[in-house]
Amino acid sequence: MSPAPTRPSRGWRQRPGATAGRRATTSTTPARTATPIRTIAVLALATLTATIAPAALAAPSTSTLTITAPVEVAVEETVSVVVDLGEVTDLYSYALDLAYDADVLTFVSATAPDGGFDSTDADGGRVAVVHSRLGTSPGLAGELSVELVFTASAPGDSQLVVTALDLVGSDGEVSSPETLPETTVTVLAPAPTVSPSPSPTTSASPSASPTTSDGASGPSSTTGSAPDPTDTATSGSSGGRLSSTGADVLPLLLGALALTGLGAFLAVRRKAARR
Amino acid sequence: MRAAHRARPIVAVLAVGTALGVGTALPASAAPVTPATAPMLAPFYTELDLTGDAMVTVADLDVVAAGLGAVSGDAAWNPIADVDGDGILTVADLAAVSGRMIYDDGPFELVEASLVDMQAAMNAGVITSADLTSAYLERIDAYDTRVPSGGRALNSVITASTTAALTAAAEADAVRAEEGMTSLLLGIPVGLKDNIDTFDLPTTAGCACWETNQTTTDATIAAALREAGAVIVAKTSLDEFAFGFVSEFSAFLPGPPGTVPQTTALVASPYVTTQSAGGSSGGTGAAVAASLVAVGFGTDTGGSIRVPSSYNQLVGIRPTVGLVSRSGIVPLALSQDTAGPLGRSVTDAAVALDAVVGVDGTDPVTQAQAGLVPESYTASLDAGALDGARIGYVPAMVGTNPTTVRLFQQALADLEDAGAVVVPVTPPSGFAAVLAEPSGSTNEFRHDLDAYIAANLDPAVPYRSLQEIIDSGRFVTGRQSSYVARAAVTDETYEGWAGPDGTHTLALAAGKELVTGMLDDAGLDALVYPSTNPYASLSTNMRLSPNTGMPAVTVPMGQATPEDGTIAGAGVNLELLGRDFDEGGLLGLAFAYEQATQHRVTPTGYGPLG
Repeated sequence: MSPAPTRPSRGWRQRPGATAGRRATTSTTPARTATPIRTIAVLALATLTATIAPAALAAPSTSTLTITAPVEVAVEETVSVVVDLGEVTDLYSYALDLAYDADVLTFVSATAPDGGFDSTDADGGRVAVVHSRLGTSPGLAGELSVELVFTASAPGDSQLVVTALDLVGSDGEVSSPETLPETTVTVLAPAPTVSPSPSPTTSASPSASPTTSDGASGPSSTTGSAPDPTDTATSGSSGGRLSSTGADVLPLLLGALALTGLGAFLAVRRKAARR
Repeated sequence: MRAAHRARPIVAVLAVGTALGVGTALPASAAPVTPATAPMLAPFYTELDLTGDAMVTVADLDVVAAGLGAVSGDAAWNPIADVDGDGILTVADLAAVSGRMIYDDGPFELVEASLVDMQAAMNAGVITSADLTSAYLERIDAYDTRVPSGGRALNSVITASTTAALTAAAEADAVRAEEGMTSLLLGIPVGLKDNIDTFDLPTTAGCACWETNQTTTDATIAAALREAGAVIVAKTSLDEFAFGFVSEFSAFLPGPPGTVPQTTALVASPYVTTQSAGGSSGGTGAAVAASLVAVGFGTDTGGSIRVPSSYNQLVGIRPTVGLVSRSGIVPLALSQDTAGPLGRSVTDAAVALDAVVGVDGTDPVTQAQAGLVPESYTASLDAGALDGARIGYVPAMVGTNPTTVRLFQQALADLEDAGAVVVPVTPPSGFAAVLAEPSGSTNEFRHDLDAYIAANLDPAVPYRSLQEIIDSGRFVTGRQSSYVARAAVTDETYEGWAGPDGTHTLALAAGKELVTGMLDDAGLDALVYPSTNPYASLSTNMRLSPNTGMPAVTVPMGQATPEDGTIAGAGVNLELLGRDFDEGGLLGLAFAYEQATQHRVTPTGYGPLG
């Protein structure tokens, strides 16, 4: 048997206290450059604190449940509808169904929390949004809202009705709010002339405190595109104020809006893939 | 009925989810990848598969999502997906299916992490194999030679791999990025007893005399582990030449000519560091127990996997002689030598065993396994496996130690609670002779060692026979009389012992026939007995498996309490012995027992590094 052609040099070390000199074993091993694992864990913790709770808490619940949408938009404008679930705990999966008038609005995309599994299916005036964590991942915790983006396709009124919301905890417990919110958006016919944005109007919410968009968190302020009605209507089953968009969701929301065109493409792709 | 979805790489899902965060399907450019076979076949992970690839992936969630609202009779109805059995597919079913994915984006804790935990964190991108390997190396640095107050250093590692392990880890990370989780050992840092050849780390067999033994090749099992994606991070301590139960070694310790006589070290149990980790695979036992490696391998001729498993609250497998190749492993007695895993759980041990089975032309005894090895031992990991099983025990093997007696009686009750029929067995008259047959190590060692020296030992090693080793003075001198006696064994003695008609050969064959007959006569799936007493051997219990060649799995059954009056905190294992090549059956029973009892505890003093 011949010696190894290329014997690895000093790619190993003996236990401290090993005899030196018998061979060059107490070598200067190359410094390891990989990130220590505890650093990784800390980083992961830091980024997940806002969204992740310890598993195995009580059944999931929402503190508030509201739906927010512009009161009026013009044809071809983007319509941002935000379903705010408020403060959630240990939320492993959820399914949200929203009914709308497909003659007035065209569904484009929906946002979702970072990571996990997402499914969005829009068909005939109903959009179903499903999100789930994966494997043994911990449940979501914190402020959570789902933004559904539509395009105003024709003049008219569209009700926006949350028809179902099911929340599944990490323990498999399911809860569903007894009262589900709804609101209405009016799509106006195109103005005869190119005009500046319409005058501000007040909220028309019948059951909740009117709120004004506060810029940083109001969904309609994040489109950053053509002028649009700046007021929103909030209708909540629990009468809560419009919660600020969850910190974990907002950046994704911005990305999603920036990718509105892609979102439409992906939605189409998805339907094709579904057969 | 099953859709033709193909699995998507989990990493791609993560990347897309992070980048877009939109509730839409993956772009068509995400290349679908399906491993040839699912890496984990435990029913928990396969039973909710909806796409025919024996695992749950995002593709399965697509199936459930597409069928939400479906009821029986609908085109999208899928009875497997109706996990809660309420007759309609809901998001609760989707959550239940999702829970079977090997994926976890939560914080990762290394200490006590299972192999599945590690895979889940790597699949989610929370850690990489490079991170994991570095972390274990840091723990070896921090803990292995640290002397705890009132105790001893673990001394569990002889050689830690630095550059080679990190290179292998990076390669494993690249494989995962390209192909997903190809194996449950992909990127997992393992420790190998230092009598298992590795082409990138020296193999000393614990002896100062062989510090320069850098083999050019891997042992068959080392190569198999690398093939499965494992990262060999450490060569672990052992009783020199694998002979003994205290793991005393001399490798890389001061000795002649500068220091006379040769100094030695002992391996400590992380639970009670004044006590031995057992042997001869004590370094593997201590390192796995203290989370200095993810999982490890030892060798067992007369108890050397099972004793350290019992002393360190680990699951150990002594496989059937012939299941795992011994080629490239420094031998002790090939009539009884085996190699097998030590892990912190039955699942970890089963996963590790999967990687090293196989027929090997360079170890002809492995031909006996042909046709008898399942696709994966993980398929046997059924928490209900004890239901209806028949378990026998020989009362005389229980002994009188208060801890052992108490824990064994509780174990019998736990087995019954899990649905097993527990049967006391009166052994046939030849049973005592089976347990009385001595180890082959006395008469076989020199013969078998010579064969290793000729085939494997680095030509640069100056000490090339047992006599030359003795003459060197560079060994555990307390073993000198044994070495001298073994060096004097003649070829005629060897042949009369281990030859085709040798007394030992015939005794082992008779032992196999007799104990298999005991199982058959009583309709038993396994015999159970305590592996050891608290930090002490228990009669000749360790000889039952080696003297029959039949497989044994040892699993924690609890700890000594102060009230026992023994050694508080000491673990004692329950051992299950079964028919040749029924490792799967034994692992199923052990898994069901482990799941029902969860006796292993984490040693204190080796927690997360700050």
